Amino acid sequence: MVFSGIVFLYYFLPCVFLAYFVVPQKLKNIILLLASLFFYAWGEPVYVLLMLFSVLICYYAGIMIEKASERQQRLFNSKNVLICAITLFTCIFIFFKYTDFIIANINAAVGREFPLRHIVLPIGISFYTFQIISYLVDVYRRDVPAQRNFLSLALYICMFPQLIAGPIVRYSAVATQLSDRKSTWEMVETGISRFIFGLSKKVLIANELGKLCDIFCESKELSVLYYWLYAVAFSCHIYFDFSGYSDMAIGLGRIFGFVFPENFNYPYISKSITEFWRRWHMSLGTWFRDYLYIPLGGNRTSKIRWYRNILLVWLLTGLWHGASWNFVVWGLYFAVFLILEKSWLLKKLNKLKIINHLYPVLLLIISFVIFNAESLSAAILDLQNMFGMGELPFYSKETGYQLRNYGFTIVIAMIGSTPLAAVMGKKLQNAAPKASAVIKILLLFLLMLLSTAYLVSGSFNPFLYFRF
Amino acid sequence: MKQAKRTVLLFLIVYGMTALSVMFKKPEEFSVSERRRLLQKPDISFEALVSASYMRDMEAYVTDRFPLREKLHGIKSLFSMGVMRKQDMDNIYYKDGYLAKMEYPMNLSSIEYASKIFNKINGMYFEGTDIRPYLCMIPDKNYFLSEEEYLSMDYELFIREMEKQNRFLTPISIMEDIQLTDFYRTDTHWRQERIADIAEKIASAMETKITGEYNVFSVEEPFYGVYYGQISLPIVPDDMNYCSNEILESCFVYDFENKKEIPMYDIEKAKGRDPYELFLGGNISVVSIDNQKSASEKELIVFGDSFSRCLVPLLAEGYKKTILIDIRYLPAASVGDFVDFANQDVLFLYSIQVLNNSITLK
Repeated sequence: MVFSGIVFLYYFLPCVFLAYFVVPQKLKNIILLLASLFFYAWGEPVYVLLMLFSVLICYYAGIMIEKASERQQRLFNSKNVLICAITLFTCIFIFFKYTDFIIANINAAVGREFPLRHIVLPIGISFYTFQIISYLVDVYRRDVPAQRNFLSLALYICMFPQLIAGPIVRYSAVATQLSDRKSTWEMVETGISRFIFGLSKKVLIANELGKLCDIFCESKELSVLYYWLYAVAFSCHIYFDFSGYSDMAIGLGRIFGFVFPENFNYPYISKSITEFWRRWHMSLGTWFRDYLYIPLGGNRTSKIRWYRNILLVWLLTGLWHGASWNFVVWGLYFAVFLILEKSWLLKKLNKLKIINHLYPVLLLIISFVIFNAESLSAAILDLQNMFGMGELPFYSKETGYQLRNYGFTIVIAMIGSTPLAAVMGKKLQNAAPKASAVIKILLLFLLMLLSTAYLVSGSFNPFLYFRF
Repeated sequence: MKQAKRTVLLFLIVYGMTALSVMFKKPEEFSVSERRRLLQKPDISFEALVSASYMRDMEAYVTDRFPLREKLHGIKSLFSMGVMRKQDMDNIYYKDGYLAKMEYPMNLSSIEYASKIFNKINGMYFEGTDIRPYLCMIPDKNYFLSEEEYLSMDYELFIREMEKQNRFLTPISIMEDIQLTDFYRTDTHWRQERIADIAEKIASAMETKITGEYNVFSVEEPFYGVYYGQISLPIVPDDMNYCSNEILESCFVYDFENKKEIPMYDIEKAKGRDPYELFLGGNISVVSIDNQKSASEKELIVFGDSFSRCLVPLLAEGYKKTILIDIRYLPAASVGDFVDFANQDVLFLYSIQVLNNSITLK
């Protein structure tokens, strides 16, 4: 089930709201868990069993890690239990996500034709596997006690707002809220607003720009300018799609009394790639930092090892996004610029006021062309065409038309990528609180109406981040 | 606190009532503007649940049956085109009071496919006969409206390509004669009362004479064309007319598909789901018109689409017998079951829109 679908918005969610707020406090987790399992089973009726199996293993592994850390026997020690559990979850993850990628590369390397398995990727496996690993590592590090209540742990892993596209919620962030939380009027109000803003980002902007990207991909009248239009549109599309989804997840969490971590913080206003990754998909960035980069030694090691750590983290970040070489190159592309920035570039950039805004934006636009290509060779071809090294004309009639057709949406997306609207909203709230409250309510109803109209009107609604 | 409570309660009331109406309101069965039956509730089964096909079908079903769906579609169109400055809605645009569709790009493989079928018909039925075959192509509104503003194919190139691939057909060009005002504002089709001159030109090219004098009758109901339904903008509907005269009124029209006599103009159909079915019974594979008052012994066979249905009655006046064949509903290989080809005039009369999307031809 997707948030931006009629079944979710007008059947599932009202029923869950009703059940959740009607039942007594002690039953709320059961309602949320049942709703989450139904939500997942709606899209993955078979793989819901895999998720429950993962929860079960995670539950016992957490308790065993804790017990083993108290006893510290030679074989049965917390480290070994942790290694076994992480190995199991990593193997499951690799099996579902990378089997065909591995087979294809073996075939290419040894010149054989082992058949591809075409295994269907369970929705959200990249997210819930990372949540499980973070929980187990935190228990091992004794940052959190193992959860003895199976229901609470199952809810942490399966909770529908963040289950299929993040943010990756660390167990420590919600541990107390799992057993003791309260939904206040303020929380519900901010939750509703956040959800509706997220929904409209996804439906009114991201889906529309997604259509332009599809039109571009099918066009027979490409041009250099059209490539740039596509690159800018896709950069806006992916931001509005993913951040819109995160907003919806965070908003739903608030309604149910949870405070999930922020996932985006206006990444396109960054003045460097380093800053961008502190603002983009923050929950993934902090996960890799805390569970891979720092354990490898981070930057408190020799320069060579530091660079190795960066390269490894970004290689895996790329691979996490998809089982294809263009994702690997995409990750390493950022690693190179992060190393350059950390070495000397950042200091230079800080002195160049306008260029330090343009430089990351240009690099990001290029990066998303690599990201969205079907393969590495397609990515190279796209980049050649973008920079006029193909045989394409600079301009075509279709380019001009689509510029006019989607130009305003892109401008709105660009403005929406900055904190401008939030700043203006705050100013209005301070200057005229009552008027601002009325405007906000009207705006929410309008956005809900428009989002519903767009959803009912068209069937183009795939969530981009499902494939991860 | 108070403000938050008020906002939440207000939202919950509106949202809850909307959700209740979505869940419990008896849904519409048919979409008038789209001219189609809405999706049916999917059947539940173990296989459908395990494969998640039930869920996918259910998503499609509830979206299709959403209350006020057409109004919401209109809201989307208004917001998209009015606020977001979109130029078109799924390739349909509004200009100078007309709704038109961007027919773009030129589909070479579609030209090849249509030509292959036409050549097959030539090989099967025309060789060794005295058949005189002609080709006439009808542009769409995009030809007149697109200019530099909207995307449009090179119509001249399209016509040249069709003619090149169908050399056995003698071309009849109407590109200089046809005008934007010959079309309905809200529909893809042309208006019968405006194309008498085109009918005369085509007849004359086939060395046949027609009077071109008709009485024009109006259909009472307003005509909401196919584009109107697709875009749902608040646009004034068209009025629908048809032409007749003493000769046409005396013609005998026969529906070979359903084996029965039908009226030349079925007024009841003009009030139905697809008012353009007014002409020659609508989507029927083979229809013949016998003109008892014809001074000529010539016969005409037309291979055509819905545009032809509108024009053929005007041509029928000049022939003793006219047969209209729609190979979208009857495979070309079966045409011989209904028609004996000997020495007739044969006209391939198609809209460029159909030829550019010729997959529907059999």
